[in-house]
Amino acid sequence: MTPIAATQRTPVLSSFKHTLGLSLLAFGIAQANLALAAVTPATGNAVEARVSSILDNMNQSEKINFTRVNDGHMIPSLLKWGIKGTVAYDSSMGVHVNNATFGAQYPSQSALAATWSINRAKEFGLAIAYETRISGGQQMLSPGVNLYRTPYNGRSAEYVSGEDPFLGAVLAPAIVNGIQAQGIQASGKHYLANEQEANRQALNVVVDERTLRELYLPGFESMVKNANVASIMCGFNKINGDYACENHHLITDVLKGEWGFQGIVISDFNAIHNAFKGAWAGTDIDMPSGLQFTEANLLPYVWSGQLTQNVIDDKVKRNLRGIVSYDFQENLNTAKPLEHPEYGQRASLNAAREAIVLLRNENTSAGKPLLPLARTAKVAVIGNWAHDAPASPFGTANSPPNSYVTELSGLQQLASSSTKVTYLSDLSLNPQSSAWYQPAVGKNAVSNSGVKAEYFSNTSFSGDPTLTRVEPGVNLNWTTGTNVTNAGTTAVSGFSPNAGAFSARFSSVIKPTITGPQVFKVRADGPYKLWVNDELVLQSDGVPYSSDVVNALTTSGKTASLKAGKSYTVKLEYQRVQGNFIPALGGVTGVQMSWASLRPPADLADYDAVVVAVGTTYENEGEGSDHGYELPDQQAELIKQVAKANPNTIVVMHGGGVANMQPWAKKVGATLQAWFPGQQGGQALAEILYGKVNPSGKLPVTIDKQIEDNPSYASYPDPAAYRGDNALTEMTYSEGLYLGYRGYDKKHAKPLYPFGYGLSYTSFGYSDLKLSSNVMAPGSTVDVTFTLTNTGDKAGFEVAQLYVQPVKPAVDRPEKELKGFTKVYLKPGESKTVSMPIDSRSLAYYVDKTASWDVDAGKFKILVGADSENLALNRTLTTLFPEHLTTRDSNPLPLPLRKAVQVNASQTY
Amino acid sequence: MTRPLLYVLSAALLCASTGYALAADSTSSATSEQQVRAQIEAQRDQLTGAAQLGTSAQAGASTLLDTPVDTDDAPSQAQRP
Repeated sequence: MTPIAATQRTPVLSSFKHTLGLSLLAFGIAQANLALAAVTPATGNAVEARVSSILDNMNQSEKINFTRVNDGHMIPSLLKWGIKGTVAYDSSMGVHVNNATFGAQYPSQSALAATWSINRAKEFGLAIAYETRISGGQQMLSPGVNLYRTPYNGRSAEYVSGEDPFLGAVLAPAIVNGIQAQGIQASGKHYLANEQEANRQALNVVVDERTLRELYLPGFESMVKNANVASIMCGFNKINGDYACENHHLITDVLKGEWGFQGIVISDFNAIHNAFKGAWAGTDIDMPSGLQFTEANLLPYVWSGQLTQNVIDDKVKRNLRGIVSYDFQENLNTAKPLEHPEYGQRASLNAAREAIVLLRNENTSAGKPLLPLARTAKVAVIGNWAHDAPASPFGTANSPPNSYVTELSGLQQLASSSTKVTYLSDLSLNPQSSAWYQPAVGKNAVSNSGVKAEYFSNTSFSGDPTLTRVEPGVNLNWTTGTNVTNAGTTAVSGFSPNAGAFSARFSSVIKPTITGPQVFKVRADGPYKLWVNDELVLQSDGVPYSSDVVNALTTSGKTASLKAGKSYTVKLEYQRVQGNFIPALGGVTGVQMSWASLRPPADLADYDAVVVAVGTTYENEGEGSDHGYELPDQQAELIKQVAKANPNTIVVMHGGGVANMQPWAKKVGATLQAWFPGQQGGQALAEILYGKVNPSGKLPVTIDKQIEDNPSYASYPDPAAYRGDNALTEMTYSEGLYLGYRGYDKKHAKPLYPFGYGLSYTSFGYSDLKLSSNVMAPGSTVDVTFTLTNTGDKAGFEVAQLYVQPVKPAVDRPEKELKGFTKVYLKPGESKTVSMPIDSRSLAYYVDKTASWDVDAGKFKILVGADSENLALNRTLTTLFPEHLTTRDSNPLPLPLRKAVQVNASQTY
Repeated sequence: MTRPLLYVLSAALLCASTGYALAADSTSSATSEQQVRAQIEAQRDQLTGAAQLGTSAQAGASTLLDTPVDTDDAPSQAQRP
């Protein structure tokens, strides 16, 4: 039968069906509207009847075009049925609207992971979904549950799992339930094995099935089974040879088949490469350009029988279900002014308060811990991170805050007097404030400020410059056409910085204020070289780190020791050879130059404490590329020098993941990991440093002493190998199950700071561990109870953790795995009985040949304590019979935890 | 002119203006990728009506929020009879 015949064969019947269908539909709408609007997502017969009613009346063209979008929608419009479509907003750390942040800038999802708090996860989901709804969006593109396999990952900030699947399996559904209870669809991403950004468009991840099942899938599985997540986004990379959006095994077999996922699989940004493969694999929406799921591409496969009608219809049903179950057909929200910014502000602050991890707090010479500080303490603050608006990564997670509290401001506001807190700007790399001088002319050396700029209309500095003039500094932005500095502002005029036809030479003089090496930093969208005193200090070849979203290139270098007050020449040569650098999402087109001292001022020892805020920002970290393990901008050396001058040095680390701390870890008085702490991060940090808030964050990752110790290092030693013309295209997860602390346990090695670690201003005692049964019967849940006591003198939260350790396992298994945690607030001297459940899945491992989660008969140690290396309590649990759990029926969370991550209607707003 | 048509026209104009800024830089295929991103984002804002609201006011640095420190335990994980 030809396709034309098929569409023409029963016009009368078709017309009748259509009329009947529309009539039923109208009836269905009238019947179901109230019920559907009451709780989202609505499920059940009313939804399915309405979906089928529409589907039955769609022709093939309408169906296929309902699986692709190219007009800004996520779920396409279907106006014949009054469906206007949906819009999804990027919303990892804030809702990205009008190329700005609509509501609050939240802490990164890696920071949320560090809270280990179901309450904070729900609060974040509720607040950001409220903002999404008010902004007129129907869907958020988060949360992310990929694992922290490597510290290099440019998108570590966007993932809430840390390095452990159980942590993500608890927090992600709590976020999703918060989002979806507000009537907004969540999207779990990036499915699957998207643990690196480097060469993400071409990367093939080779990983065995058991590792996928035990480590990389449970976060997604939990969002499906415990939150009915509306959509899952398939990523850019390949997994075992098939692109993520063309991976039939992962999408159709596992996600939709075994787990019973009823939602929509949406492609990452044009991540489908082959229409048939993408369609057959189970991807439901080809977005945002709809290049593959066209009638021209898909119909031949339908006609030939390679794609059955069911495959097309299934996509349409899922996309319709996305509309009907959220009542978007009749009640589509549109943008309004944000009436309650305080919801997001509060959620952002609360998360930051609980996310910051205190890693080190040594005694001062007075014999007491350095932290908390007295509010009368005289404090010096160093570093742009403390001074500037709280940063976010480069890329779609970029979320510049509308209002914020910087760390410097937070400290100044909370100190007994703002004059107690002093910012040392001479140690700050800021292109706006760096001081530049022209070569001395007679006696006018000091006042003769600025940078001589020579602008050429070619990329090779050839011929006479188009324009020569003195600029107040080098902070040139080609998109805004400005050069804004504290010494003055100029416009980009009199020359044309056209990509492929522009170069510039900047010459100046610096006069260091502190003797010693100086650090220089250049950020630009092209190649550059910088000389100080005629010595090459830094350079970049200008080759982008990414092939899609391209960030400007930031490089730093240090000079030889320079003497304070003396003059030293500076020359920067910059070429604009290509125009593919992105001027938005934290990127910049232009050139920036700054310098600062790498030695502290002589009076630094006079301060009671020194706060050094360091780490990565959108300049160094984000989507599309991976980064190194070292702190940027020579910050490690700065910390060492500051600590040498003042032992009461407090280092505040920032970034989506962690960076190398080993060079100075034992030399400073205190260390905190603050992640991307969000718009209220400065308040939260100040509250912790002054003791108003007792720190309770714990590490969701292991911090390596050196990157070579990281279990992923053997297969991923260098992100640079995945860049450029000969970029590698394969990554084997050779560590298998032994990621993070699992790998350290296997090697019996010690990291710098273990998974789950974090200090408090008080102390906690663990005692009296009991199991509700010493035998785990099939289908049962065992309560693990113990007494947790605040043995110190300050109130605070403790994150108690439960690990399962198989005793003499029949197969190769990690020594222990996280299978429970909870967060409890205790006043000084207070004790609480804490309960955490475990079930058969908590004890199981995946067996590929039977596609089951198996529990062997045997013994398991149940370990409870404060972190993965400090597990004070243990009991033995026995299983008498082997058990096989199906992938369909088993759940990453025991039943009580499934209930704990739910959000009820009374919590919505 | 209907409202949807106005939206489409506005989106097209916005995309054209965005594209203008980027078009001057066009030297590679990656630029078109970014033009598509900018275009999609502009379309989203048109569709939701957010574009008509304009960009959020940049309040800048602000004072501390007067919000009590949350002290609620995690939801109970004890089995209920």
